[in-house]
Amino acid sequence: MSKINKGSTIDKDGMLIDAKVKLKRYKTIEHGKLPSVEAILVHQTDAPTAQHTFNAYNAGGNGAHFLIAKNGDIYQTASLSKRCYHVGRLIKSKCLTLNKANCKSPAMTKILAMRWGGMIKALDTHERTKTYPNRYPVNSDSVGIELVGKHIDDKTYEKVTAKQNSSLQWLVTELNKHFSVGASDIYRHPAVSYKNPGEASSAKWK
Amino acid sequence: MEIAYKYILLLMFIPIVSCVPRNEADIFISQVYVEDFQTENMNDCKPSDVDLNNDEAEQFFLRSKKVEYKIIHDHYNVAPCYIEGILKVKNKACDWKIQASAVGSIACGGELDYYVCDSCDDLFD
Repeated sequence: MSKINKGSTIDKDGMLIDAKVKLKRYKTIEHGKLPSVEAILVHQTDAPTAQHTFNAYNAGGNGAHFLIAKNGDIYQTASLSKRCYHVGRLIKSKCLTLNKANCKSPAMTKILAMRWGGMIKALDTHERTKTYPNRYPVNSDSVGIELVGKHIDDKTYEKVTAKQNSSLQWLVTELNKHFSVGASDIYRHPAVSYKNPGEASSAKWK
Repeated sequence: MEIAYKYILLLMFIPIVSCVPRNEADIFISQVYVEDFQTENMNDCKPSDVDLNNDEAEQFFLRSKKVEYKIIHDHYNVAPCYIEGILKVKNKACDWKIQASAVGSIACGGELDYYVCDSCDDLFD
């Protein structure tokens, strides 16, 4: 159990204890241990309400550690010591995105010559040989925060509400205190894996 | 007597099962034509990444399953390039898209349906 002065604590079950956090744990979306927390991924649910997501979580499967409703209510839906499937199977190449010039290697040249479907699988394999922060985060080293919001079209999601952004900012600040996750360790979901580019695009945490 | 009864039921059931199409696209889709290619970045996703001809595009939808967008959101990749074209659904002209990630959509009269194909790797090789 860790304790932060005048702030939240994390209990032995990996739950964030603070008056602002409603504990609504779904063991159905937890999949083994979360060995470390190096990063935070910000998502949107593609659901109209928090209850829709709770109903889905009851059935099990994918999910994230926190959910922020449109009115700003923060729910913790999975233990911070447990892994959730929130990143996606294939991660993008961080060096290709951030510093393409430094990314050149014979292996990368070969990968980039492949067709897109094969390329993204080969990139994932290549990236997973690295450790964070040299690659994007994966399920086993990151925490997920879901913001309630529907997708609108192939490039757009509902705008994140001001109350959601305010709660997101508070939550990220608290998690930063517990896990020493810096500003550069917080990502929108589509930055890390191959998702609708509009997901969480209007989320603001600083 | 009971065995004979089950046998008759089985015989009645086989023709019904064998006539069930893989998905509703089997019944309705026709005149599938590829018309264009779109990409967000030609270096990341090229025409050769989603190079289907008319027949292959039709095959894509025939082999696909129709899904809610939430399924794509949770379980499938979104590609930055796609081909698009026209087809007919129940004789109505519609627009379609197929992404390099084997995710597709058909837009008909204001309705948008999404499709995913888990057995279409050969179409993207």
